[in-house]
Amino acid sequence: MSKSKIGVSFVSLALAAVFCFCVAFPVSAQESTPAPKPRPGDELPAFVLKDYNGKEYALNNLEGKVVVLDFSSQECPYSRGVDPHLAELAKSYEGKDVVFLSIDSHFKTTVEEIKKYAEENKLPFPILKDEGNVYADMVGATRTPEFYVLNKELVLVYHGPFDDRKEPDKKGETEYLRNAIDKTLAGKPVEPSEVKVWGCTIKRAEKKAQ
Amino acid sequence: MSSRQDLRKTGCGRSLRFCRNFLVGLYIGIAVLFVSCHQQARTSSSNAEKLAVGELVRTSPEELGKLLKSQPSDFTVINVWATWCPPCVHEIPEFVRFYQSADKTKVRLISVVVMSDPDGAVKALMEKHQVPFPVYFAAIGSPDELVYVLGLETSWDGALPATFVLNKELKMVKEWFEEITADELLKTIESTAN
Repeated sequence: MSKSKIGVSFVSLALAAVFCFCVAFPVSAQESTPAPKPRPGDELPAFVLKDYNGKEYALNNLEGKVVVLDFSSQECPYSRGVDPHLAELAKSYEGKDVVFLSIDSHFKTTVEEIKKYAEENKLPFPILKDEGNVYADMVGATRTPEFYVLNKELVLVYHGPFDDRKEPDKKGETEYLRNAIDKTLAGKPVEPSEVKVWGCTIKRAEKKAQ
Repeated sequence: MSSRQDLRKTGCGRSLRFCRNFLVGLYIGIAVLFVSCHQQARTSSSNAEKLAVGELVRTSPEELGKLLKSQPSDFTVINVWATWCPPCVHEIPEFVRFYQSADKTKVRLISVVVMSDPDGAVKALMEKHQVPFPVYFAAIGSPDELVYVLGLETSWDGALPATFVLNKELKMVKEWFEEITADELLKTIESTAN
Protein backbone atom coordinates (compact mmCIF):
# COMPACT_ATOMS: atom_id res chain seq x y z
CA MET A 1 0.00 0.00 0.00
CA SER A 2 2.72 2.41 1.04
CA LYS A 3 4.70 1.32 -2.04
CA SER A 4 1.94 2.44 -4.36
CA LYS A 5 1.70 5.74 -2.48
CA ILE A 6 5.38 6.28 -3.06
CA GLY A 7 4.82 5.45 -6.73
CA VAL A 8 2.00 7.95 -7.01
CA SER A 9 3.99 10.69 -5.34
CA PHE A 10 6.94 9.98 -7.64
CA VAL A 11 4.72 10.31 -10.70
CA SER A 12 3.19 13.56 -9.47
CA LEU A 13 6.65 14.89 -8.62
CA ALA A 14 7.86 14.05 -12.12
CA LEU A 15 4.81 15.69 -13.69
CA ALA A 16 5.38 18.80 -11.59
CA ALA A 17 9.04 18.88 -12.66
CA VAL A 18 8.10 18.58 -16.34
CA PHE A 19 5.49 21.32 -15.90
CA CYS A 20 7.98 23.65 -14.20
CA PHE A 21 10.57 22.94 -16.90
CA CYS A 22 8.08 23.77 -19.66
CA VAL A 23 7.02 27.00 -17.98
CA ALA A 24 10.60 28.04 -17.26
CA PHE A 25 11.91 27.25 -20.75
CA PRO A 26 9.27 27.86 -23.37
CA VAL A 27 10.34 26.23 -26.61
CA SER A 28 9.81 29.18 -28.93
CA ALA A 29 11.67 31.73 -26.81
CA GLN A 30 14.90 31.38 -28.79
CA GLU A 31 13.45 32.60 -32.11
CA SER A 32 15.38 35.77 -32.93
CA THR A 33 14.81 38.11 -35.83
CA PRO A 34 17.94 38.53 -37.94
CA ALA A 35 19.43 42.02 -38.36
CA PRO A 36 19.16 43.56 -41.85
CA LYS A 37 22.03 42.35 -43.99
CA PRO A 38 24.63 44.95 -44.99
CA ARG A 39 24.58 45.70 -48.70
CA PRO A 40 27.38 47.15 -50.84
CA GLY A 41 27.75 50.77 -49.79
CA ASP A 42 27.00 49.98 -46.11
CA GLU A 43 29.56 49.97 -43.33
CA LEU A 44 30.07 46.60 -41.73
CA PRO A 45 29.49 46.30 -37.96
CA ALA A 46 32.66 46.38 -35.86
CA PHE A 47 34.12 43.25 -34.33
CA VAL A 48 36.84 42.25 -31.93
CA LEU A 49 37.64 38.59 -32.43
CA LYS A 50 40.56 36.37 -31.45
CA ASP A 51 42.50 34.07 -33.74
CA TYR A 52 43.55 30.54 -32.78
CA ASN A 53 46.66 31.88 -31.04
CA GLY A 54 44.62 34.25 -28.88
CA LYS A 55 45.63 37.35 -30.85
CA GLU A 56 42.88 39.96 -31.02
CA TYR A 57 41.74 41.55 -34.28
CA ALA A 58 39.50 44.62 -34.26
CA LEU A 59 37.89 45.68 -37.51
CA ASN A 60 38.23 49.36 -36.57
CA ASN A 61 42.02 49.00 -36.42
CA LEU A 62 42.11 47.95 -40.06
CA GLU A 63 41.01 51.27 -41.52
CA GLY A 64 43.28 52.25 -44.40
CA LYS A 65 43.50 48.68 -45.70
CA VAL A 66 41.34 46.64 -48.01
CA VAL A 67 39.81 43.96 -45.78
CA VAL A 68 38.76 40.54 -47.05
CA LEU A 69 36.53 38.59 -44.64
CA ASP A 70 35.78 34.95 -45.35
CA PHE A 71 33.15 33.07 -43.37
CA SER A 72 34.62 29.61 -43.50
CA SER A 73 34.25 26.18 -41.97
CA GLN A 74 36.55 23.22 -42.03
CA GLU A 75 33.39 21.10 -41.71
CA CYS A 76 32.28 22.22 -45.18
CA PRO A 77 33.89 20.51 -48.19
CA TYR A 78 33.24 23.56 -50.37
CA SER A 79 34.91 25.88 -47.85
CA ARG A 80 37.84 23.46 -47.53
CA GLY A 81 38.06 23.32 -51.32
CA VAL A 82 38.41 27.10 -51.56
CA ASP A 83 41.02 27.44 -48.79
CA PRO A 84 44.13 26.52 -50.84
CA HIS A 85 43.04 28.93 -53.56
CA LEU A 86 42.43 31.65 -50.98
CA ALA A 87 45.89 31.00 -49.53
CA GLU A 88 47.35 31.40 -53.01
CA LEU A 89 45.40 34.62 -53.54
CA ALA A 90 46.43 36.04 -50.14
CA LYS A 91 50.09 35.33 -50.93
CA SER A 92 49.78 37.17 -54.24
CA TYR A 93 48.84 40.37 -52.33
CA GLU A 94 51.72 40.19 -49.85
CA GLY A 95 53.24 43.66 -49.35
CA LYS A 96 50.03 45.35 -50.48
CA ASP A 97 47.41 46.99 -48.28
CA VAL A 98 45.14 43.96 -48.20
CA VAL A 99 44.22 42.02 -45.05
CA PHE A 100 42.72 38.54 -45.27
CA LEU A 101 40.76 37.30 -42.27
CA SER A 102 38.89 34.02 -42.13
CA ILE A 103 36.06 33.74 -39.59
CA ASP A 104 34.81 30.43 -38.22
CA SER A 105 31.26 30.71 -36.84
CA HIS A 106 30.43 27.00 -36.93
CA PHE A 107 28.84 26.07 -33.60
CA LYS A 108 30.90 22.96 -33.00
CA THR A 109 34.40 23.77 -34.25
CA THR A 110 36.81 24.55 -31.39
CA VAL A 111 39.79 26.92 -31.40
CA GLU A 112 42.11 23.90 -31.09
CA GLU A 113 40.56 22.28 -34.17
CA ILE A 114 40.92 25.54 -36.11
CA LYS A 115 44.58 25.82 -35.12
CA LYS A 116 45.26 22.24 -36.16
CA TYR A 117 43.51 22.72 -39.50
CA ALA A 118 45.25 26.04 -40.23
CA GLU A 119 48.68 24.63 -39.41
CA GLU A 120 48.21 21.40 -41.32
CA ASN A 121 47.09 23.31 -44.40
CA LYS A 122 49.70 26.06 -43.94
CA LEU A 123 47.08 28.80 -44.29
CA PRO A 124 48.81 32.19 -44.40
CA PHE A 125 45.87 34.17 -43.00
CA PRO A 126 44.46 34.21 -39.45
CA ILE A 127 41.26 32.30 -38.69
CA LEU A 128 39.18 34.08 -36.07
CA LYS A 129 36.74 32.23 -33.85
CA ASP A 130 33.28 33.77 -33.78
CA GLU A 131 31.99 32.15 -30.58
CA GLY A 132 28.23 31.72 -30.59
CA ASN A 133 28.12 33.00 -34.23
CA VAL A 134 27.56 36.53 -32.87
CA TYR A 135 29.30 38.27 -35.76
CA ALA A 136 27.74 35.99 -38.42
CA ASP A 137 24.36 37.05 -37.01
CA MET A 138 25.33 40.74 -37.06
CA VAL A 139 26.16 40.69 -40.77
CA GLY A 140 23.64 38.00 -41.67
CA ALA A 141 26.24 35.58 -43.02
CA THR A 142 24.49 32.30 -43.73
CA ARG A 143 26.90 30.04 -45.54
CA THR A 144 30.48 29.00 -46.08
CA PRO A 145 32.51 30.06 -47.93
CA GLU A 146 31.09 33.59 -48.03
CA PHE A 147 33.27 36.63 -48.73
CA TYR A 148 32.97 40.30 -47.79
CA VAL A 149 35.42 42.86 -49.22
CA LEU A 150 35.63 46.24 -47.48
CA ASN A 151 37.35 49.28 -48.91
CA LYS A 152 39.86 51.37 -46.94
CA GLU A 153 36.97 53.24 -45.26
CA LEU A 154 35.60 49.85 -44.17
CA VAL A 155 32.58 50.16 -46.46
CA LEU A 156 31.30 46.95 -48.05
CA VAL A 157 32.18 46.80 -51.75
CA TYR A 158 31.71 43.10 -52.52
CA HIS A 159 29.68 40.25 -51.06
CA GLY A 160 29.75 36.84 -52.69
CA PRO A 161 31.82 33.80 -53.59
CA PHE A 162 35.51 33.30 -54.37
CA ASP A 163 34.79 32.45 -57.99
CA ASP A 164 32.15 30.76 -60.15
CA ARG A 165 33.42 27.22 -59.61
CA LYS A 166 31.29 24.26 -60.63
CA GLU A 167 32.90 21.86 -58.18
CA PRO A 168 33.85 22.49 -54.54
CA ASP A 169 37.60 22.06 -55.02
CA LYS A 170 38.20 23.15 -58.62
CA LYS A 171 38.76 26.76 -59.58
CA GLY A 172 36.09 28.50 -61.61
CA GLU A 173 36.58 30.79 -64.58
CA THR A 174 35.44 34.12 -63.15
CA GLU A 175 37.53 35.30 -60.21
CA TYR A 176 34.96 37.47 -58.44
CA LEU A 177 37.07 37.98 -55.31
CA ARG A 178 40.31 38.90 -57.08
CA ASN A 179 38.36 41.29 -59.30
CA ALA A 180 36.81 42.96 -56.23
CA ILE A 181 40.19 43.38 -54.50
CA ASP A 182 41.93 44.73 -57.63
CA LYS A 183 39.15 47.22 -58.38
CA THR A 184 39.08 48.40 -54.78
CA LEU A 185 42.88 48.84 -54.64
CA ALA A 186 42.61 50.88 -57.85
CA GLY A 187 39.82 52.99 -56.35
CA LYS A 188 37.33 51.79 -58.93
CA PRO A 189 33.76 50.56 -58.36
CA VAL A 190 33.36 46.80 -58.05
CA GLU A 191 31.09 45.06 -60.52
CA PRO A 192 29.45 42.70 -59.73
CA SER A 193 29.29 43.77 -56.10
CA GLU A 194 26.86 41.08 -55.01
CA VAL A 195 26.86 37.48 -56.20
CA LYS A 196 24.80 34.72 -54.70
CA VAL A 197 26.21 31.23 -54.77
CA TRP A 198 25.75 27.83 -53.20
CA GLY A 199 27.34 27.15 -49.84
CA CYS A 200 27.12 25.13 -46.64
CA THR A 201 24.73 26.52 -44.06
CA ILE A 202 26.53 28.00 -41.04
CA LYS A 203 25.37 25.85 -38.17
CA ARG A 204 24.22 28.25 -35.47
CA ALA A 205 24.99 27.76 -31.79
CA GLU A 206 21.30 28.15 -30.81
CA LYS A 207 20.55 24.86 -32.47
CA LYS A 208 22.73 23.08 -30.00
CA ALA A 209 21.80 24.95 -26.83
CA GLN A 210 18.92 23.06 -25.21
CA MET B 1 18.48 -51.61 -35.17
CA SER B 2 19.91 -48.28 -34.28
CA SER B 3 17.65 -46.42 -36.72
CA ARG B 4 14.64 -48.15 -35.18
CA GLN B 5 15.79 -47.03 -31.76
CA ASP B 6 16.27 -43.51 -33.04
CA LEU B 7 12.79 -43.47 -34.43
CA ARG B 8 11.41 -44.74 -31.17
CA LYS B 9 13.15 -41.91 -29.42
CA THR B 10 11.38 -39.45 -31.63
CA GLY B 11 8.04 -40.98 -30.71
CA CYS B 12 7.55 -43.28 -33.72
CA GLY B 13 6.92 -46.43 -31.83
CA ARG B 14 3.49 -47.41 -33.22
CA SER B 15 3.73 -47.82 -36.99
CA LEU B 16 7.25 -47.57 -38.26
CA ARG B 17 6.38 -47.37 -41.95
CA PHE B 18 3.80 -44.67 -41.40
CA CYS B 19 6.16 -42.73 -39.29
CA ARG B 20 9.05 -43.01 -41.76
CA ASN B 21 6.81 -41.86 -44.62
CA PHE B 22 5.54 -39.04 -42.51
CA LEU B 23 9.05 -37.83 -41.67
CA VAL B 24 10.25 -38.08 -45.28
CA GLY B 25 7.17 -36.13 -46.39
CA LEU B 26 7.82 -33.55 -43.73
CA TYR B 27 11.44 -33.12 -44.81
CA ILE B 28 10.45 -32.77 -48.47
CA GLY B 29 7.70 -30.33 -47.51
CA ILE B 30 10.09 -28.19 -45.49
CA ALA B 31 12.65 -28.26 -48.30
CA VAL B 32 10.06 -27.20 -50.91
CA LEU B 33 8.76 -24.48 -48.65
CA PHE B 34 12.27 -23.22 -47.95
CA VAL B 35 13.26 -23.11 -51.63
CA SER B 36 10.06 -21.38 -52.71
CA CYS B 37 10.28 -18.81 -49.91
CA HIS B 38 13.86 -18.14 -50.78
CA GLN B 39 12.99 -17.64 -54.44
CA GLN B 40 10.08 -15.42 -53.55
CA ALA B 41 12.31 -13.29 -51.33
CA ARG B 42 14.81 -12.99 -54.14
CA THR B 43 12.25 -11.95 -56.74
CA SER B 44 10.57 -9.51 -54.39
CA SER B 45 13.87 -7.92 -53.45
CA SER B 46 14.85 -7.54 -57.10
CA ASN B 47 11.41 -6.01 -57.78
CA ALA B 48 11.97 -3.65 -54.89
CA GLU B 49 15.32 -2.62 -56.34
CA LYS B 50 13.73 -1.87 -59.70
CA LEU B 51 11.02 0.19 -58.07
CA ALA B 52 13.17 1.79 -55.44
CA VAL B 53 15.83 3.79 -57.19
CA GLY B 54 14.40 6.84 -58.88
CA GLU B 55 15.63 8.27 -62.13
CA LEU B 56 18.33 10.89 -62.40
CA VAL B 57 16.79 13.41 -64.78
CA ARG B 58 19.12 15.74 -66.65
CA THR B 59 17.19 18.81 -67.54
CA SER B 60 17.56 22.50 -68.32
CA PRO B 61 16.68 25.32 -65.92
CA GLU B 62 13.77 26.26 -68.22
CA GLU B 63 12.40 22.70 -68.24
CA LEU B 64 12.63 22.64 -64.46
CA GLY B 65 10.50 25.78 -64.34
CA LYS B 66 7.98 24.19 -66.71
CA LEU B 67 7.89 21.03 -64.61
CA LEU B 68 7.01 23.03 -61.51
CA LYS B 69 4.23 24.93 -63.26
CA SER B 70 2.72 21.83 -64.94
CA GLN B 71 -0.02 20.04 -63.03
CA PRO B 72 0.49 21.64 -59.64
CA SER B 73 -0.40 19.36 -56.74
CA ASP B 74 -1.97 20.60 -53.53
CA PHE B 75 1.57 20.82 -52.22
CA THR B 76 4.95 20.85 -53.92
CA VAL B 77 8.08 20.23 -51.90
CA ILE B 78 11.33 21.40 -53.49
CA ASN B 79 14.58 20.20 -51.96
CA VAL B 80 17.85 21.68 -53.23
CA TRP B 81 21.00 19.83 -52.32
CA ALA B 82 24.60 19.03 -53.29
CA THR B 83 26.69 15.92 -52.78
CA TRP B 84 29.43 17.88 -50.95
CA CYS B 85 27.02 19.29 -48.38
CA PRO B 86 27.05 16.99 -45.32
CA PRO B 87 23.62 17.93 -43.91
CA CYS B 88 22.13 17.50 -47.41
CA VAL B 89 23.44 13.96 -47.60
CA HIS B 90 22.39 13.33 -44.03
CA GLU B 91 18.77 14.26 -44.75
CA ILE B 92 18.41 12.01 -47.84
CA PRO B 93 16.87 9.17 -45.75
CA GLU B 94 14.40 11.69 -44.34
CA PHE B 95 13.25 12.59 -47.84
CA VAL B 96 12.97 8.90 -48.70
CA ARG B 97 10.79 8.46 -45.60
CA PHE B 98 8.78 11.57 -46.47
CA TYR B 99 8.19 10.36 -50.01
CA GLN B 100 7.08 6.95 -48.80
CA SER B 101 4.68 8.43 -46.23
CA ALA B 102 3.24 11.33 -48.22
CA ASP B 103 -0.06 11.09 -50.10
CA LYS B 104 1.29 11.31 -53.62
CA THR B 105 -2.09 12.27 -55.06
CA LYS B 106 -1.77 15.55 -53.16
CA VAL B 107 1.94 16.06 -52.61
CA ARG B 108 4.82 16.01 -55.07
CA LEU B 109 8.52 16.19 -54.38
CA ILE B 110 10.99 17.88 -56.70
CA SER B 111 14.54 17.07 -55.68
CA VAL B 112 17.11 19.32 -57.35
CA VAL B 113 20.82 18.58 -57.08
CA VAL B 114 23.26 21.41 -57.87
CA MET B 115 27.02 21.82 -58.28
CA SER B 116 27.60 18.07 -58.16
CA ASP B 117 28.73 15.27 -60.46
CA PRO B 118 25.47 13.68 -61.66
CA ASP B 119 26.99 10.43 -62.92
CA GLY B 120 29.38 9.97 -60.02
CA ALA B 121 28.44 11.09 -56.53
CA VAL B 122 24.74 11.75 -57.23
CA LYS B 123 24.02 8.31 -58.67
CA ALA B 124 26.08 6.63 -55.96
CA LEU B 125 24.09 8.37 -53.22
CA MET B 126 20.78 7.57 -54.92
CA GLU B 127 21.69 3.92 -55.03
CA LYS B 128 23.08 3.85 -51.52
CA HIS B 129 19.91 5.34 -50.02
CA GLN B 130 17.54 3.61 -52.50
CA VAL B 131 16.12 7.01 -53.38
CA PRO B 132 12.67 6.22 -54.82
CA PHE B 133 11.93 9.64 -56.34
CA PRO B 134 13.44 11.30 -59.44
CA VAL B 135 16.34 13.69 -58.85
CA TYR B 136 16.69 16.61 -61.25
CA PHE B 137 20.07 17.90 -62.34
CA ALA B 138 20.36 21.08 -64.38
CA ALA B 139 23.31 23.35 -65.07
CA ILE B 140 22.12 26.05 -62.69
CA GLY B 141 24.94 28.46 -61.92
CA SER B 142 23.54 30.32 -58.95
CA PRO B 143 20.74 30.30 -56.38
CA ASP B 144 19.37 33.46 -58.05
CA GLU B 145 18.95 31.57 -61.32
CA LEU B 146 17.09 28.72 -59.63
CA VAL B 147 14.85 31.14 -57.73
CA TYR B 148 14.14 32.91 -61.02
CA VAL B 149 13.32 29.83 -63.11
CA LEU B 150 11.12 28.41 -60.36
CA GLY B 151 9.54 31.79 -59.65
CA LEU B 152 10.03 31.44 -55.90
CA GLU B 153 9.28 34.28 -53.52
CA THR B 154 12.20 33.88 -51.17
CA SER B 155 15.20 35.67 -49.67
CA TRP B 156 17.25 32.47 -49.89
CA ASP B 157 20.90 33.17 -50.71
CA GLY B 158 22.13 29.71 -51.58
CA ALA B 159 22.82 28.08 -48.22
CA LEU B 160 22.31 24.32 -48.58
CA PRO B 161 20.27 22.32 -47.97
CA ALA B 162 17.18 24.36 -48.82
CA THR B 163 13.61 23.07 -48.75
CA PHE B 164 10.53 24.93 -49.90
CA VAL B 165 6.89 23.93 -49.49
CA LEU B 166 4.54 25.54 -52.02
CA ASN B 167 0.76 25.41 -52.15
CA LYS B 168 -1.40 24.71 -55.22
CA GLU B 169 -1.00 28.32 -56.39
CA LEU B 170 2.78 27.83 -56.04
CA LYS B 171 2.93 30.33 -53.19
CA MET B 172 5.43 29.74 -50.42
CA VAL B 173 4.01 27.93 -47.40
CA LYS B 174 7.27 27.41 -45.55
CA GLU B 175 11.00 27.34 -46.25
CA TRP B 176 13.98 25.87 -44.45
CA PHE B 177 17.65 26.60 -45.02
CA GLU B 178 18.90 23.76 -42.87
CA GLU B 179 18.54 20.02 -42.47
CA ILE B 180 14.95 18.94 -41.86
CA THR B 181 13.09 15.75 -41.00
CA ALA B 182 10.26 13.87 -42.71
CA ASP B 183 8.06 14.56 -39.69
CA GLU B 184 8.58 18.33 -39.93
CA LEU B 185 7.55 18.23 -43.58
CA LEU B 186 4.56 15.97 -43.05
CA LYS B 187 3.43 18.08 -40.09
CA THR B 188 3.72 21.32 -42.08
CA ILE B 189 1.67 19.90 -44.94
CA GLU B 190 -0.91 18.37 -42.62
CA SER B 191 -1.38 21.55 -40.59
CA THR B 192 -1.62 23.72 -43.72
CA ALA B 193 -4.06 21.34 -45.43
CA ASN B 194 -6.47 21.40 -42.46
